[in-house]
Amino acid sequence: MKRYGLILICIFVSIVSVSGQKGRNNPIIPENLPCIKCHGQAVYTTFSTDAKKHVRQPMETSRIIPEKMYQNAIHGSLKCVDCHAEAYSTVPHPAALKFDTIFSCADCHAGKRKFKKYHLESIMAGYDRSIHAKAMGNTYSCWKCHNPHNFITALSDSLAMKAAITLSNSACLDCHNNAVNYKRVSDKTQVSILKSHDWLIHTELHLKNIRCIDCHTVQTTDSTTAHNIMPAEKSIRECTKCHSQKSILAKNLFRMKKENAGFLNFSNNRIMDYAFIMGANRSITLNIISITLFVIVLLVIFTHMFFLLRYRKQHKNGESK
Amino acid sequence: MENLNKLYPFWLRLWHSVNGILCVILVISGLMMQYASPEWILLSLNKIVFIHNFCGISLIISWIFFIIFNSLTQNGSYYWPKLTIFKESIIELRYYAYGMFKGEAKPFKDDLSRKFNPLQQMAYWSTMYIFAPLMVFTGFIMYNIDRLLTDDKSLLVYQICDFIHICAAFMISIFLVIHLYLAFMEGLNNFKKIIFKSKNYEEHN
Repeated sequence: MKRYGLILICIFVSIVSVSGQKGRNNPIIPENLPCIKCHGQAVYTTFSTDAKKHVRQPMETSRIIPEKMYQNAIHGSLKCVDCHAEAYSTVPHPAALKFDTIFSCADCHAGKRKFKKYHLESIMAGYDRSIHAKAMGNTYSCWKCHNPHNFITALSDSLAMKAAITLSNSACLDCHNNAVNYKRVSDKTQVSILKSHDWLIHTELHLKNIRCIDCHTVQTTDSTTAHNIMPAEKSIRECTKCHSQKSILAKNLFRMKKENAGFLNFSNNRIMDYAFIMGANRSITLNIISITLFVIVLLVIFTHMFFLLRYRKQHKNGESK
Repeated sequence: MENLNKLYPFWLRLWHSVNGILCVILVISGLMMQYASPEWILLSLNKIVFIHNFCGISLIISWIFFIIFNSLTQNGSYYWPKLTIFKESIIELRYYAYGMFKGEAKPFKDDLSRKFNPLQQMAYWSTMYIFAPLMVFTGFIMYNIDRLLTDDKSLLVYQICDFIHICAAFMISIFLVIHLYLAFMEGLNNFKKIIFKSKNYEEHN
């Protein structure tokens, strides 16, 4: 029972993690229905030749693909056998399929004009320079981070900012905040995310409200470099990279948001519907008013001082005469 | 000497010194946070924020200390303005702008019945009972933002707090500048008198 409970929680989390999106709502593909019948839920029924009866089996978590989630995914218009071998139509699936080659992104997207907008070549180049490529080489694939069955492009799919950040971070946290999954890709011991980021003020606030890749990738205005994940020691540790007028967050994470300076004329205001970042968001109008007032006060003081010193000097001279 | 001790008891001088130092550090560190830039780094932002938070919490303690001692002693009564404060302020303002250059006597002398002139009274009262509490309250909320503000409205609350915090900080900065100038204007002797209990104090009064 406990096991089924866990599986249900995992499905719920998967659905919730993409529920912030507007949704592509691809139509249900009839050819996929037999697959969804088993893979769309946490438990499936199969015929046991030993027991000679139908038995209920739990579906492995990574193979559960809720129908709604798949419909909303970027690949939701594809038939299952477009990517998986035709032999999967046989149930139970032949054991040899376990070692079947899985398609990578490049198999479909690379070198095709239609998919040029995804900049796959530069994504692959970025990835090749990343710590993931260096540490794991060919054993690593796109699917280690991106689930093809629920994959959506976080920022350009008009997700609410919070959902986009949660979705982006879930790709990292699935391993970096999960000791079991981490062990599947690395021999090292997984360190608590909160502990490794405890140098940040308001650690949890930072971790929940910006993407891991905002600090852990090489920052340029080109979003495709987001795949060049840097080693922890080379990641951004300088607070002013975000907490300043030249905040990298305005150029990356919030680049899709519209500017709305408001009557107080805030700098980097495209951030402000979601967050308020000290140093980055500053009212230009208030700045001008405060500096003007301050200068006026100083002018009054210096004028007063000038006349006071002159009066005191005259008074002193008069006394000495 | 006795009057001086009554007007400026030890606890008040101690509080004033601590409060002054904290305010100066808070203003400087606050400006460094507001105008943070990767191009000019004297201290890392982390350290600046730590200093600002530390001094902010110390200022809260200092402010509570001030309020408690003010309510326990006669000192508190000197701050509260009377209804005639605006009329008296114009008289005092005229003295600062004109009268003092003509050798006129101060319109309001400080003694045991009246420690501050009307302008001082207004400035000190608004600083300690309006701007300081606003600073302390909004600063406390922002310091505990991850614990106190967790719902959808928290961003708006944070933005309002930041706005109030910065406006109040600006007013206190202006107060600090004028306060320092007036201290200078009153002369080094007066400064010594307050700090070191000059023997001539009672002769002057």
